[in-house]
Amino acid sequence: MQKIVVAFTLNGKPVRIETAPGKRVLDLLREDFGCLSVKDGCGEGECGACTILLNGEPVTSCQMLAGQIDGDDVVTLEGVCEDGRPSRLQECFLAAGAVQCGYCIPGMVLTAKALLAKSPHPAPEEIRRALSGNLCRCTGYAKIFKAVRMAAGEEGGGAP
Amino acid sequence: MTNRNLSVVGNSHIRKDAVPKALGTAKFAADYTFDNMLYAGVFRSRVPHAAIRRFDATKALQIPGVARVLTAKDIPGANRIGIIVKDEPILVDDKVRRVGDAIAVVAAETQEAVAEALEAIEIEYDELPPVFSTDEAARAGSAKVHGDTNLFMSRHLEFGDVDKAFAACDVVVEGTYRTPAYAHMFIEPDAGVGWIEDGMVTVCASTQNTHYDRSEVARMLGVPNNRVRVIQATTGGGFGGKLDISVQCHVALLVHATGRPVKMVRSREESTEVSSKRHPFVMHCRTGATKDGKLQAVEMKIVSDTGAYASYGPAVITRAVVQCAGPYDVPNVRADAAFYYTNNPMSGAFRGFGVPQIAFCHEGQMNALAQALGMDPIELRILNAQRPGTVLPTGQVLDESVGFVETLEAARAKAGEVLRATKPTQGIGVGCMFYGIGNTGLPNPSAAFVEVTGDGSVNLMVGCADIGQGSTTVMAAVAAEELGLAYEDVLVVAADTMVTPEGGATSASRQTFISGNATRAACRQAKQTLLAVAAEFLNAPAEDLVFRDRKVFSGKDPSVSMTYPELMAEMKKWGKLAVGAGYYNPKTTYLDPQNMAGVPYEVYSYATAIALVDVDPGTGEVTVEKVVSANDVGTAVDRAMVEGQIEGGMAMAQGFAVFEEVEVSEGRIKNPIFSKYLIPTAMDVPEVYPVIVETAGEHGPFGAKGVGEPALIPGIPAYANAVENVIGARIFELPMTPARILAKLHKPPGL
Ligand code: FES
Ligand code: FES
Repeated sequence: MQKIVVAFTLNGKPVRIETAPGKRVLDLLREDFGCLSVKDGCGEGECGACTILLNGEPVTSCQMLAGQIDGDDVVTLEGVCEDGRPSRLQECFLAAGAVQCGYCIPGMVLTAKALLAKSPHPAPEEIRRALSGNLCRCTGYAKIFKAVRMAAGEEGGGAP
Repeated sequence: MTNRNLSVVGNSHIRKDAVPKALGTAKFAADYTFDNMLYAGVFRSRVPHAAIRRFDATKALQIPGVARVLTAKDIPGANRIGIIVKDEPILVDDKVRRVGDAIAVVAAETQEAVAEALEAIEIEYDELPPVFSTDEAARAGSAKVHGDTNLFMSRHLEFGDVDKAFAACDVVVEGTYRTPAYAHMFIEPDAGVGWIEDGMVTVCASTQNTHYDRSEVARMLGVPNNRVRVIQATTGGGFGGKLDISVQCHVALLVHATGRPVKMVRSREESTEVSSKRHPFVMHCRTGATKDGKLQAVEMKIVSDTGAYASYGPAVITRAVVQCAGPYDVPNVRADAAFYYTNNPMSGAFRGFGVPQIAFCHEGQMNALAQALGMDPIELRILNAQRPGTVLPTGQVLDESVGFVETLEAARAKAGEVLRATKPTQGIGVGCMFYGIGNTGLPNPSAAFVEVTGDGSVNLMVGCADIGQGSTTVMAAVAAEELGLAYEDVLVVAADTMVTPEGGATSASRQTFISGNATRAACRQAKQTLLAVAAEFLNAPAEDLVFRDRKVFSGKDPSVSMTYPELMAEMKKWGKLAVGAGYYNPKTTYLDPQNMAGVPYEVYSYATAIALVDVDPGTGEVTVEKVVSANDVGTAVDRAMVEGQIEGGMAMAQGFAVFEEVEVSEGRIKNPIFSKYLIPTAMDVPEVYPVIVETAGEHGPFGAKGVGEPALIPGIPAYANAVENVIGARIFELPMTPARILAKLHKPPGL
């Protein structure tokens, strides 16, 4: 089978790998780099569980093939944790009670991180819009919104 | 509001499972890999009803990397599974009964080889006439899905003198209500891994009930229960959809046959296609009252399509009948329900077991009645509300654990603050429910083991599966409260059949109540030993001693006290161990099959939701803007988690009320994926105002009842009623799609 070499930055470190060109980035990250925080919820770009940050933008890694990330900067939740400890944003998810089953959470945290990087004090509508590609069946999103507001420094956070 | 003076229960804690989930290190089933592991998949029928004429895996087995293709013939033990009725084959041996029936399992070195093998399997069917509707199922001469009748089950409830009561009513309202099949759409598709450890088949899967899984795997392999181990992987939501066996038996069979680790992960499409769906209901209801507004009689007829297999059908039909009149005092009730087998997708457990369906109906009736009587809908409900002493349609007399009126009043007060309809396109509506905690009229015990170790830290072992709702955190809080320790002192091991005792299913909102009581019982046993040692040391009567905040002290004289480390040192000195085993079985009775008389549940939760919606008259689109939901939970063990249940429930209710519906055509689900089956997104969900109502009663641990399903149910009728109040027409069918709303808006008045 034909292979290609892909070089990219993963969580701040340069990496190179020989892989099948048709391999989904989702599978590449999980299988070849052990980034198990990247979840498969649908494989069709609808749920956001497989979200990664690609050059700072949240994208669904199930919809990308290995060859498409050559030269790019990729961040998974593993790269957001600080020495295996929760970052401030993750601490806000904990404090807000935003975590239920947890399957959507890696994608939620990454999407929220990208939002806050662009807009440090997002309006409630902005938070909703930013997270609208990440499905959660458990929480009704309320405490996830709260976590983002807490991370933005709106302590306790009023109603969204 | 009750004052129990608790130190742990009632706070909000960082959930036991939250840190690894927030870090992304929590291991879901698909995250496990082993050396020498095989990947697996299932060959499924593409036809709804057929005998298999020819099955040939020769070509599949020639594909490099394909290790095994197994069929029914390879099952060493029993080939029928089902939580209540064992009617579902693990692998088809007689005939196909639905699209998606499992016919063979394939294991190979790579996922790609599995896919290729599934393509290469050859099959020919002798198709049988299919049954796609309850009408067809009921028709004499129709094809039969199982045995010689398609009537899977019927239930009859009779209470009081219904006919006489209707004759004396001043007002009778009547309607036929329809609810569709819904899909759980947990975000994690079903998955599992298996391996052999110490000669024992071990399965680690996404599940709501490890002990049930274990018994099915053991029966399939023909070995005793304790020769199989089932461990719950971190589970990405369930909502009832992971109560049935999914991959557990298929994985175990391949592990048993190959001796190698095996992993099976369903695609979203496969997961939706073969996991159970909510029973679609057709409900015909008459409700009668005297002109003072007092309910006199309810009569309900329910027909449902239970699909190809029984699954939790018996639980749904019984609960629907028992709870059909809603949270009201109704002296005369009759209900008849009939569930039919068809060749459609399997209906089963889904958050509420039939109550979301009947609540849409009984609440629609209450609103119609309020209108007919010219009464305020909330006043009508308060007038008829169940209260302590109310006699239910089963003859059960309610005790003091009833907080329905409190939920109505609390929701009304909060709604007065936060909900305002300011335009003609906006409307406010109300919906209520009650929910019996635990299985209906059946024993359903849970157990717990506990050990307070030498330094005062605690190991608690419960069979109860945490599927994201937070039971592990609840159990830790209950144990800490009972033992007088801190939440942080308790480590919970949950849902591992080799380590933890039976916990029953994580369903029917039962774990806080039942596993919580079991945990408390186990802790009380351990405490007996601690108490005796402390009493001796402190020279104080045992009955005066209080365990709290890592101390033991005399309630009469708090200066007579010792710390937990001192207590554990004393325990060591005397060679005592603080261990406990406890179990709890709710106080229920079997129901009389003639009329459903008996005690179906020990305790009930109550809830009232009041919602503000907007209906776009141009497009027919319904937006749920805000909702207040007041839930009587007895005692909130963890306030943030109760709120989280209510917020999640109100969002799910929006999906059910406004846009979700499984479309089935010729037995096949047309919308098994998120791009076709939409669930509420961050843009859709209403602003939710959860109100926690705490009431008297000591049935559950520190008075806690349950909230998982009650958190969902009242939202559905509240949204429907709010829409009714905008468009001025009754809603008899869910979901309230734009097309349905437009049809109502453009109907001539009076129809
Ligand atoms: S798995 Fe990629 S969007 Fe769902
Ligand atoms: S927490 Fe379960 S899907 Fe979001």
